[in-house]
Amino acid sequence: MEILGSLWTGFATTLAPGNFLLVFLGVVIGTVIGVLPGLGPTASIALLLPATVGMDMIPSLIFLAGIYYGAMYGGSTTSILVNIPGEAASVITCIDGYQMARQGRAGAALGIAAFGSFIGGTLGVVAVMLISPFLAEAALKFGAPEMFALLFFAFTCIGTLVGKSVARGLLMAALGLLLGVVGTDDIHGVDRFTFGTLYLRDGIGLVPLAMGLFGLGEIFFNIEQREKTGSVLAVPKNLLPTRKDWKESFGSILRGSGLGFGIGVLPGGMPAVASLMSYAVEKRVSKHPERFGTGAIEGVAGPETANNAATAGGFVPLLTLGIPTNSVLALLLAALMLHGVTPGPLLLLKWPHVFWAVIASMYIGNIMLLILNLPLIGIFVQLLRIPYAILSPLIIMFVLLGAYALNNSIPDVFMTLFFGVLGYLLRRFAFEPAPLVLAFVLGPMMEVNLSKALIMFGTGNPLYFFTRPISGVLLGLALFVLCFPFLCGLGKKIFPRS
Amino acid sequence: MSRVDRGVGIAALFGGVLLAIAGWRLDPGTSKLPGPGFFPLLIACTMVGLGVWLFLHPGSEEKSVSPKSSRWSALAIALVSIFGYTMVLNELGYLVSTFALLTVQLRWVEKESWSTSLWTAVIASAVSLVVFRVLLKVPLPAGFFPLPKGW
Repeated sequence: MEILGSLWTGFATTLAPGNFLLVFLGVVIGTVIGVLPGLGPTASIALLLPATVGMDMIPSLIFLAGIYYGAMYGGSTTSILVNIPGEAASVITCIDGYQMARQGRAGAALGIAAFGSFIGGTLGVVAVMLISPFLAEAALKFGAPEMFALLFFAFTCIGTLVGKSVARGLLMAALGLLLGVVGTDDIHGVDRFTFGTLYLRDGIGLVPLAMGLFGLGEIFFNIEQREKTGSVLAVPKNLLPTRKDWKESFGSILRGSGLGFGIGVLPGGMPAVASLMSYAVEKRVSKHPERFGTGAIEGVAGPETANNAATAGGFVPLLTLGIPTNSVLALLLAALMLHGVTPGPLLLLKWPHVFWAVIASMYIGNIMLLILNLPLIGIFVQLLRIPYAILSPLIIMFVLLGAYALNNSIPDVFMTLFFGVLGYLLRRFAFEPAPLVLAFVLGPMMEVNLSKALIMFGTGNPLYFFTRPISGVLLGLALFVLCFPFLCGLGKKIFPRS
Repeated sequence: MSRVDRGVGIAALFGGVLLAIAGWRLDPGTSKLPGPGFFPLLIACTMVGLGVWLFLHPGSEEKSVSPKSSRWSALAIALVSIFGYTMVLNELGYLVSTFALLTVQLRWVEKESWSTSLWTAVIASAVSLVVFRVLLKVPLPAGFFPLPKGW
């Protein structure tokens, strides 16, 4: 009953005209971003973050969150109609979605993607609402050793789950930790790696870093690798899936919801990972796996549901533990901090109205997206007719403008350019930038908790962390995650498949 | 054997060693009382370990995400123009420097026609100036170009 009462208050806040309009704006901008290739949700949120500084806390959060889950909805449209994913989580939808469209079943693909996204997103929000209060209460018992162990676990998950190789992922995460220590040390007040400059004393800003890596980096890569895009297939009039489509997709949607949410909760469990895993699961459980790749509707329903459920799932660790599981949530964490909110177990105690307003806005946003996406899909597709040659310089202009507007500072623009070049190089050589951003955000928290734990409990023995039950279990899990790929390799050598 | 992995491995190894020296100079303290160099030293050890691992166990040579038709010159122009833009933004002001940046990007990077480039650059720089400077009150540098009173 207490949850329902709090949710009711959240709805009352979100349905206030100004907030309602911002949810609407957020999901529309998110859908547009999802539809347009070349500008993902991370760069867009980084770009719009300075514009939300003047807003109150709740409006800015529900606006930015709307962009995030809106982008997940919009991403499927280009995958299905043009065979180009609007954002990373929709890459897998291209395989069967585009084949369905070529067979004249674009309506069914777009429709099931929209309904699947709605169901996955809504079930995800219900789970966030039910789980978060209990997790936050449990997390109140965490001291510095437990927080360090949790962050270390997150670090290993991020390094190993994201990217093509564990060593590459962990190296990116280590680079993120290194960038995170630049600036004046919070504990000792000593300047570290500032090279004597005043600018670096405050540390490297998350916004120039994210806009450079994800915004400029992507644009530079696209400038170099300009390939002709396929033609946009016509949008069919009927987007409602048939009874047969529903029958074939129902199980995929349910599995996608559970799997996506579970992955979203894990650090490093990005929506893109959820959609990939959902596709693999659907292919494995299907009685006709040979249909996958030729236009199987389950190959659209499962991944599209999973990426939206993962989007919702990511809010659990963010709002209850203060741990972002992907780069977009890292920026939402920055938005929370800009408004003086410390995310973590105390969020529900100190700022319950923030938590419940975000939850309510997600319910409303998901309904808006379903209503908007089906009838207005034709309008969104028209955006794809804007030549990328025109769009790309405009995106560069907005990124540079956003970097400058943050502090009215030219060094911020230089920093964005520097990270843009780094982002391009990472993309060029197939390194994943997400672990870098996440470790950059988690690093300072990790250092503070490690120092606190070592000073407060002053044993000097690192094994001390294993003697406390919660931190011991978390560190054990972290070691398991680190060793898992090697154990798998060893298993394959010992028990080779015939 | 991936040459990229090996190269990155060596870079991480050397970077880690340099970081370890820097961390040591910052004073790592002890495990009972960590100093400001303690955490950088831990990161350095991680980097050295990962560098050695990548060098000794590189992934299989995979196709890097290499373009089908490389446009190096376009990328170089884009980078130089953005760098130049950042250098002159304060002196020339937002309107003039943004107009110049967009014209260069559209005409020489994207190979659009002169008329498309100029019109798009004029409209985009003027509209963004009005939106950000007038509506959102972002103090974009005015430079030498005279702006209407109140802007």
